[in-house]
Amino acid sequence: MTPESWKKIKDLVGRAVDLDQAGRRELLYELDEPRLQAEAWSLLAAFDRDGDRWEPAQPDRPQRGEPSTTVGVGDRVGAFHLLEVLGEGGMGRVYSARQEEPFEREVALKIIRADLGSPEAMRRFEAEQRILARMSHRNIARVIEAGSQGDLPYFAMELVDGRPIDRFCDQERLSIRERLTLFIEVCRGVEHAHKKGVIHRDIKPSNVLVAKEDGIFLPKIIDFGIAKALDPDSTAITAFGQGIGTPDYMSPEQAAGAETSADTRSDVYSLGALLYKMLCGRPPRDSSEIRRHLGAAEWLRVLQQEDPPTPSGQISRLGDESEWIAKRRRESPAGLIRCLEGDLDSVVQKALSRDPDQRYQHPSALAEDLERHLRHEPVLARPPAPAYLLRQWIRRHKTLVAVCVGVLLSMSFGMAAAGLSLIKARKAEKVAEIKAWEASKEAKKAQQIQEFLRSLFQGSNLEKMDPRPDLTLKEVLDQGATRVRTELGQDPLVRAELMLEIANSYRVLAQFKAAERLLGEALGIFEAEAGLKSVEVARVKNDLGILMTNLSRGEKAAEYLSQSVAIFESADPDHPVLVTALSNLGPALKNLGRLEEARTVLARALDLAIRQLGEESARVVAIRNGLGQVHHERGEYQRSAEVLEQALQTGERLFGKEHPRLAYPLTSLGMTRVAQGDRVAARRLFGRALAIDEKFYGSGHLNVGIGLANLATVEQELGKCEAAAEKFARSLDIFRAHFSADHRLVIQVSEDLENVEANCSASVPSSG
Amino acid sequence: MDKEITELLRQWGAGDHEALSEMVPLVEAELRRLATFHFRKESSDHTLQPTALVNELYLRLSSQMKVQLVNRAQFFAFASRLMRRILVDYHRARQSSKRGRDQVRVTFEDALGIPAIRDAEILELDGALESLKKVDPDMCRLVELRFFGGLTVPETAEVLGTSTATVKREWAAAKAFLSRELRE
Repeated sequence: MTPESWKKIKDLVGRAVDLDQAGRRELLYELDEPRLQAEAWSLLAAFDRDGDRWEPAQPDRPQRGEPSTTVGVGDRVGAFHLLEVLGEGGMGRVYSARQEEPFEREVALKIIRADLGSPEAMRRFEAEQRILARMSHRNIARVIEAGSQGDLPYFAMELVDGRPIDRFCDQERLSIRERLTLFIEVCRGVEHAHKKGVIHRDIKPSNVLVAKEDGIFLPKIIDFGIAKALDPDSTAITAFGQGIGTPDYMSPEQAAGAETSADTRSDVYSLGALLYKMLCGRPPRDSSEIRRHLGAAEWLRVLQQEDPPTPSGQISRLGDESEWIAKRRRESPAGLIRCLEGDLDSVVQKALSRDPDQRYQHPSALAEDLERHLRHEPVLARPPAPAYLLRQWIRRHKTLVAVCVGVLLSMSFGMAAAGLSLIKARKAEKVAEIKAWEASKEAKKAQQIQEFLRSLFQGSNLEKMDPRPDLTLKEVLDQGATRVRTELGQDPLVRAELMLEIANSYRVLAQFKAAERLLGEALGIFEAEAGLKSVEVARVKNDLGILMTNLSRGEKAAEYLSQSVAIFESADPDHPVLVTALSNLGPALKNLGRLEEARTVLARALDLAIRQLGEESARVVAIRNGLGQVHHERGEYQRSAEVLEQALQTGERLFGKEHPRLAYPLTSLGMTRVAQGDRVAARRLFGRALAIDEKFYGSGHLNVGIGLANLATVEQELGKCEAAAEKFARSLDIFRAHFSADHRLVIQVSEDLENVEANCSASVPSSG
Repeated sequence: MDKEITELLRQWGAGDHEALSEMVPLVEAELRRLATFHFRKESSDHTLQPTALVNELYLRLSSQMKVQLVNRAQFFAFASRLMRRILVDYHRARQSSKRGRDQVRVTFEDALGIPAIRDAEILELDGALESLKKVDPDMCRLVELRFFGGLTVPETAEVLGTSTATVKREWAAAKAFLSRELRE
């Protein structure tokens, strides 16, 4: 480092310390060299970690928790004579002290900071003593007395001449097995306390001291129950912890301030974090680490806040430092990783689950699993279940995308069916109907997905961790979009990939503008980085095509989708997304009235889908449904019926007779039967579709309204006036609930209803 | 002894730079004496500020001279550097004579109000400052003033002849540097 570059760095670091991450990032942009940037980030990380320790005590500044104004070495506190200062902790100062009555012994006396000791706190304090006195375990430093002198609460504890467990393990170069043995003892101590009804609430390395007695290592937990005694809601502790202490070992529910919900499982979490530190030398959430690895990792920050890297993963990320850490465990870095991978990673992950229900329910369960590991037996901690993994942001996102694809597929084919629902509507009107229906259905689906995601969030306590509990999915996406634009410097392709996924999610949430903007950006990146004719570009154009369909910009949709198909065909004719693009292009063309092209495209899609996915696939069913509609539009009713029958049969084999996906071919076939004049068959088909939709979506769903209108229309034509009138009425209720009074569907169905009521006596089937 | 220091200070004030280096052993001895005295006192005010220590020396010297000491700021800087040396020596001695009982932290620094720091670390810190000095002697001085001298930000600014804003910024960067170099 030259003095010149150091000067640049230190100036920026000095200015950056007080800024938030975004501000820092902006500021550090001034450093043009990545090496200098990395240097600055590592300095900032170090500053955040323990910059404060260099701060000299200022005589003119009132000192936090300075009890020495009233007591100090040489003074008496209760039955204790203060001998010397042992240390300064978050809650006050610890002295060694001599007790003279009832017998002479040396104790550790913790004098609590004056500002933490309200009179009320002191009453609780003394009450707590009775509970604390119940604990008697070799791994717990015994509480001898809790009391107060004046306004100074104090705890007298067994004096432990030991070192913090993490430092002890490192200094003594304990192997992983030795560390586990030691840690199991700590669990036993905590378990004992829990059985006595005492929760620690502040388990961390400095509260677990290891003494070496006659060559035996004896861990002892100190400060048991003190956090609780000071404040049952522990808000003071929490607030204080943010100021000086490390939140690294605090459970999510505690960190969220939900102290009242902190229970034995919060201690299990802290034990997990302690174990994590002992195993891999870092606390599970070392914020400096994330900062240093800007870029992709920074983008995944949300994910990392949810689930820290596994201990072995942590080691492999540390680079040179892993050498140092492994050495203190008498291992090579590779050996250490092998040692942690699998069982220990899983055990730690389970203990650190964000959802308390997913954790070990007791410290003893954690200890037992570790004992199993030591005996080379399989551990109970399993890799988290798939649903659980969904909590990770990207996974969550991928699921969302998968759901979206399903939704959009069914939508692009289903909307035609809906369009056909109004048999009497002329073609121009039909298009408007389709759009309206599509938009509302889209919104409905979005709501379902949102609810689906919310249920995932709730399961994982994510809401508690988020800065705001009412964070909506859209806001999550907005944040994601901002961050993907600003934070993901290095790899434009990764950035564009993520933009694509976020755009898909936006689309499902009917945030079309935002989706369009992101897709446009992604397209630009892919065109520049991957080439104009790359499959990446083809994929974005496919997405843009779908989006244009959503926006009712049919021409544009067909254009994008055609381009997408063309690129796929020249770049990678076997690309799995080609089928999707073709499947999307077909209906788009059909909606533009380009029926011949639509037929060709869908026929090709069908061939390809059968070749790639086999006859028995949902995709094939959907394509046949679309193809059947195209034949219908072309007036080829016989071919339409054949193709739709095939779709129906395959669908029934695949999904069973009552699957919501069957509603589409059922409706389409019903339309064709109507066109063929077979109203009885049509009535049966519409009836089945309606039953499925009612069962699946509930009786108030828009799909049900459409199904009712379809059925009613046929019934009316069959002369079943009362049944038709009743169904039109129900359909109208549903439409009125979804749309305003001037909506076309509302007007249309009210006309139908009037019509059927007026003509009910005339039992002649109408030709419409 | 004080008399000797006073004389040297006067010469120094008159522009004799050699006087400062001659003064080192004398002022150092005086500071050690003061520190030990305060440390032993163990009384109500057992958190003794290094600033107070240096101040006390300063006041005594200037009262003896019956004049305001010339270049007060430089004197403080000078005394801070001595504090660093005193602490390093203290720890070298302590390290060779004492093992174990990590938890017991009644240390010299406690008495001086210096942030608690492990024995080995004082020496590491000393090393880190040496390397810092090569790239950035000004920052090294600032650390001596703030950390070893216990000077406040305005005092430090005065000594270094710069603004408090600059001191704050430099001190923040220094803390970052030290935190990284002396990573636990």
